[in-house]
Amino acid sequence: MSSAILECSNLTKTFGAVTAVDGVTLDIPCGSIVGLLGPNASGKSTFLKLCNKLLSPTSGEVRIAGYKPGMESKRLVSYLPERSYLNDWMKVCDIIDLFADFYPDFNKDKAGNMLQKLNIKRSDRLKTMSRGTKEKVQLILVMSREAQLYLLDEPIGGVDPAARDFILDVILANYDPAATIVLSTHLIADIERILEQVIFIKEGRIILNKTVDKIREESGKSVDALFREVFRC
Amino acid sequence: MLTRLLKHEFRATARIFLPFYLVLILFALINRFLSFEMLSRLESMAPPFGIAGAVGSLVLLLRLIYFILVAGVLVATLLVMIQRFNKNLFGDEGYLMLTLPVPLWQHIVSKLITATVWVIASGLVTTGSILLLSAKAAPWPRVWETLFAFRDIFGSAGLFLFPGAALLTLVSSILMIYAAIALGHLSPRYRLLASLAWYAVLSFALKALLLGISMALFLSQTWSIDFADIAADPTRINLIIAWFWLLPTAILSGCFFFITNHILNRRLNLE
Repeated sequence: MSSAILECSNLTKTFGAVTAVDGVTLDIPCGSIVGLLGPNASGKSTFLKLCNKLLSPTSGEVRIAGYKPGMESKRLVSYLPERSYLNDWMKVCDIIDLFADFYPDFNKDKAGNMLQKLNIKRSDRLKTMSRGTKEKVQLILVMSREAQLYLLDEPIGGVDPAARDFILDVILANYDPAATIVLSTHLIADIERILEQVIFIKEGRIILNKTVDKIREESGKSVDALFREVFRC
Repeated sequence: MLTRLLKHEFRATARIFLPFYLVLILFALINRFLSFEMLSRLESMAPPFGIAGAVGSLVLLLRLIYFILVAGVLVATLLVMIQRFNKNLFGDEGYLMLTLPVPLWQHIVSKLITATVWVIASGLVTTGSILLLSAKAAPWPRVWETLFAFRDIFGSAGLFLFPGAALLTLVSSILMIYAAIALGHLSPRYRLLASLAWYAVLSFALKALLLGISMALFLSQTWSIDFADIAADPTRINLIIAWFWLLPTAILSGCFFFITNHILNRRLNLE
């Protein structure tokens, strides 16, 4: 088996005349926190959906730990989509049961502790929660899995700066160094401190794939500064 | 994993159906006891202040609510069936359901079993509520009588074959709705409209097929079917049912299942 947890070869996805992901070829190694960075509509979410088999590629392929997206890869991947997938009628305990039923690597205690820190009760109904709280619950569920690959799509997109810190702390606190996190966002300044590697994506193409240290060494700039330079309108 | 999917599917749907059934039964009981006979008794007692008229309006209102509830249960059964499949797999909830480590065919099967159970339950509860409302005596002697008459015509095998064929027809109808939703999902825009259009296309194709089978059954000389002869022989009736009802329905169900599973597996595009 390859040491890369995620491998893409010439991965392309088109929607009619629009090419959302354009011939992406890349390897993401095991045990790193990778930022998938790009402006809105650059293809970040499409790329993560392709990795989760929620979209079918137009051409090329993606492999996770050597598996094509499917049953095996779903066991290894913990995915946080950019939208809420929680059923409003559910209570927190219902959604915890669902995760525990289907994911053997789901750690109920870990989820319980994190919910307690946020004063969210197991009997709380999701429909009574604000959007931000729901996003936090969703992140807690995703990070309570002991997965090999976490694919987090805009985890800090819709929350206030204080909540962003909480979310980043949750990610770091639950991060197993053997696992890999791919985190997509356009809010670079907030997450730069946790990134080890960054991938810049523009109009569906990978335009940069380097470690944070190398970027600082070569350009003398922070990732945020380089991002602003590369994606200047 | 299928049993776990079923557990969550039943949990998600029971919260809608069980209260509905309870209210329907309750209104059937209220209607039974607050009936027009009671009204006529009240009138015969000639109460003062027009009480009979007020109770009459109340009885009418309760009857109306009951009939609205009956229609509501039937509409809700259909809507929940469509909604659970469409929203739970092809809507935002699909981001959770379709990333669970479960073979995709099990999602279809779990939703199919749940929908079949609720359609049958809605039918039974509605029939039961009508009996509760109007039956003068226990219906069981009539039920046994009908079953025996049925057995005389179709034989003992027919007692299983007919419900089996009816169940398969129900399954096939649900799978056709699923296939139409999945085919509509292939459209880049207006997916709901596309699903409705696909449902119309599939219905038309199904009717054409049924017509073809009926024509073949009635007109073909090659099979030399003598209906007078068949009517006297339960075994031959059942064979005709098996060949011309069960088999085509089973093949159609297989096709609808294959289409839905193929789209979920190979052509999924959650946008």
